[in-house]
Amino acid sequence: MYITCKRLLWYTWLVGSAIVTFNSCQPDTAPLPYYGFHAIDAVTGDTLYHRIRDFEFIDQDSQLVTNAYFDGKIYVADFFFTSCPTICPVVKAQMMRIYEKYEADDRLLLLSHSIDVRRDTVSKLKQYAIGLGADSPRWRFVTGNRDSIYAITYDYISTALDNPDAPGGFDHSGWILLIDENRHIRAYADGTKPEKVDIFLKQIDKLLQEMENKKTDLREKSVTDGARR
Amino acid sequence: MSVRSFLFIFVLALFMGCRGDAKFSSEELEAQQSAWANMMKGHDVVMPLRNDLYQTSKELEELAQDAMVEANDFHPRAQEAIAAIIAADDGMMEWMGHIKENPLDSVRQKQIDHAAVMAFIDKETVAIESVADAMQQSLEKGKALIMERNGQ
Repeated sequence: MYITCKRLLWYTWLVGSAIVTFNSCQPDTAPLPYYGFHAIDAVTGDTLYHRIRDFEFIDQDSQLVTNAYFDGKIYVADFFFTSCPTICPVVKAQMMRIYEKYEADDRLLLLSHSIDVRRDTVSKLKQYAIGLGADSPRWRFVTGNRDSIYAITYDYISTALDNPDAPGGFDHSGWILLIDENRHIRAYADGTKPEKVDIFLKQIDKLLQEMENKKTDLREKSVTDGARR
Repeated sequence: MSVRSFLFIFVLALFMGCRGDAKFSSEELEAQQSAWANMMKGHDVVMPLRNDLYQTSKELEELAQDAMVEANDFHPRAQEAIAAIIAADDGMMEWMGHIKENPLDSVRQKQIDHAAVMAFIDKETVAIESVADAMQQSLEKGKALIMERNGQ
């Protein structure tokens, strides 16, 4: 009887371990979530997810940067200021990791908003970008008027945190956010924590894969539609 | 100068040069690090108030706009409160810019001894405390004015 019980326990442990191992080896196929307010379109019944509002900022090359710059791309957004002695350098090091990993991938862009609109002039942003070794069309450092910067900060961060009364200082909290090609917030991370950014990098890969899957689906659909006609 | 004297001066200069890297004892380095961290803690506590300052100044701007044609002193008082908020916020940004240009490593290199490093940190600690006071006071005044206006 004792041997039977022992053997039963052994088999249970073995089967349990096999299930856990099998599950952990399965690719995580669940899509990334959509953060923020959801509504249902009364006509189509589609779910409408929160979209980042229209924006117009000036970048380190004195060029106007609007939503159109990111059409068909995904991007990583963050908030900083050039004279920040504490959080920003840490976050920028993590943003550099993202920039370097996807440097050759033109599907991903980076957008850093300065929250010190009085001091961070275009030339300061330019110097900053050059100093980082990231003065590239793929990474825009932008400034604008105080109200539009605060409004967009609120739009990104309080939405991502799902808290309209997001805690004070959210503009200086080190959050980095992943925005999809339809301006939806799909992931965010504390950019001061490398281990969180490790996960964020995987989420970027996942979103890029999702984009590719959508393109493949569209291609297949157009082929099928063409064949029908 | 004899070869022996030259060698002596050379070795002495080398020794002094090497000693320069070890300008501070480990206790002094620890004390500097701790004072620096304490100073930065003062900054971290009030930095989150920047959003509150912004929201309060926006609210005051709107109220001041409404009160422009009224025969009372709300408009100038609101303008004064907004100016104090902006000045306090600016003070924080200026202080951070100054600290960014003078990180602890560079202060250690520039200052001649431990006392001078500590004096620098003490001065900046007083500065950030003063910035923090200005931020908190301007915020309180601004909020009080909003409550007064709203009859609360």
